[in-house]
Amino acid sequence: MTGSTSKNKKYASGEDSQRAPRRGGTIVVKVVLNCFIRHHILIISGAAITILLGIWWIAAFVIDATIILPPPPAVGRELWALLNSNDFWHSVGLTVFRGLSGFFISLSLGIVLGIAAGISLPIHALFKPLIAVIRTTPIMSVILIALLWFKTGTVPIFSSFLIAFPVITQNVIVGIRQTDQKLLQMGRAYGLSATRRLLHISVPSVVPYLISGAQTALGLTWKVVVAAEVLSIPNWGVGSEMQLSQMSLETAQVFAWTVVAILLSAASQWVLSMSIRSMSWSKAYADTV
Amino acid sequence: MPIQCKQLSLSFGDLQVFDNFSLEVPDQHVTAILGPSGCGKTTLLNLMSGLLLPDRGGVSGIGDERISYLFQEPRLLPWKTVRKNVELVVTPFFPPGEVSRRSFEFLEKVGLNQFADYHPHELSGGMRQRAAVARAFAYPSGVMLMDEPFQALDLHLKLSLIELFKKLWKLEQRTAVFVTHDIQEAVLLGDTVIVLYGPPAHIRATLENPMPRVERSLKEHRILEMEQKLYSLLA
Repeated sequence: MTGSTSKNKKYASGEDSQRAPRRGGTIVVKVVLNCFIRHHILIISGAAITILLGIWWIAAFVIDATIILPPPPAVGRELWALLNSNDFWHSVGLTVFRGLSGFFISLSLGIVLGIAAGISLPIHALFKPLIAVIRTTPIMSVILIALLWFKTGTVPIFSSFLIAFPVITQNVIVGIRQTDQKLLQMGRAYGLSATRRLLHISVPSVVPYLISGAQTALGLTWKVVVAAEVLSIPNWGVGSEMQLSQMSLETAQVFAWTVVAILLSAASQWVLSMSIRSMSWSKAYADTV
Repeated sequence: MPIQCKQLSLSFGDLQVFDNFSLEVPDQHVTAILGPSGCGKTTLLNLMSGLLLPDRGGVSGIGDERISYLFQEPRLLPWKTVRKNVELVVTPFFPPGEVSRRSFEFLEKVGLNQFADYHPHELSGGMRQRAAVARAFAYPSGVMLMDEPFQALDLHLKLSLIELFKKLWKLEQRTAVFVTHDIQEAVLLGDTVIVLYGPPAHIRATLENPMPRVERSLKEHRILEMEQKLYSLLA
């Protein structure tokens, strides 16, 4: 779809450049069109954001009550004020710490258990019910139960671990099971020991599955960490601040913290995808075996 | 020691692939097994290598002999460089310095020395298959089993790989069993060509190659004669 539209645009601009000498002012159209062709994806995304902001602004204007829906500039001012306060970085830092702790605990335990369950049916049978139960437990139940068990700062870590862990484990199990049988047969034919087959063939095969599991898990992590912070209100944290702002009816501040949470999640996804991109073989995996 | 398949029987469900099948493959000799698709050629290789076990009968002569395997596809690990792919199978048999020396030596022999540190997806199909050939020869084995290793290659690549095989075999004698449905490959590489039909698999003819390995070419009339004969047997 995108390919054909960009082709049409190119064609249109070609026509346009031929007519250019005959029409005054076409030069502006030409520049705009060229710019559009070159950066059309960015421009479309930019337009979408502008439209959303516009709708928000109009809605805020119509409602005319900052406490219900603050206009974008008010949220911007709050955000700016937050960025310039020391407490802000303290809160963001602790939320990041909690999120990453939960994420990396899930990642390491998920990889170990996933590999074990992937190669051994009894281990899989042993952990399958537990994983299924955790997967289907409502996030709020996890947080509320964690509140009864742990100190407030630990609740977000525990909750995010419990949500992300089954996702990663499940993906690793699938990855081990999907290992190319032809490569495993090659390993057996060349007399590689079971350990070396696992290490050199099965484990690397898991990587693409682990990546997609990690992406999903990371997305969930920030949602759960912020939700857990909202409920447990530890001393510092994006969720705590959000909750405190809400209780004092500082709606613009709630919005500003929400923006922070969104940016946090987006930044972590970006870092993850950048590190994935460095593994060039993962793209060409399918057709080289 | 010759490889002997004695009274093999094997069926997949209702399909009887082997029924009391016997075959002897001479030592230090290239035996080409020629036959149409689905006659049980690949299964025969898997039985010889022990990747498959027969319902009845057995294979002797391979014993503890190590086997190099060449498949229809290169079957290289995509996450390892060509060099690491070769080293992986060689590692258990030599001290570390010798492992890398030997691996590189065989990559040189197949003409991939400049591409040793490339990943498989950065190479063409022919280069990948040459890397698999380097792996098969670098692996210290007495037996080489080949399952249509030229199938996916064009004529030019196929002929150059066949020449490469002749060169490598001259350096190091190994017992080789080579399965194919391509008559030209069979007459160029096989010291003996066995025509297989099935299922159930049975030997229709056994032909000795009239020319020594290095002199064979598709321009020699004795090779062309053999090609004709095989053609009439298969058609």
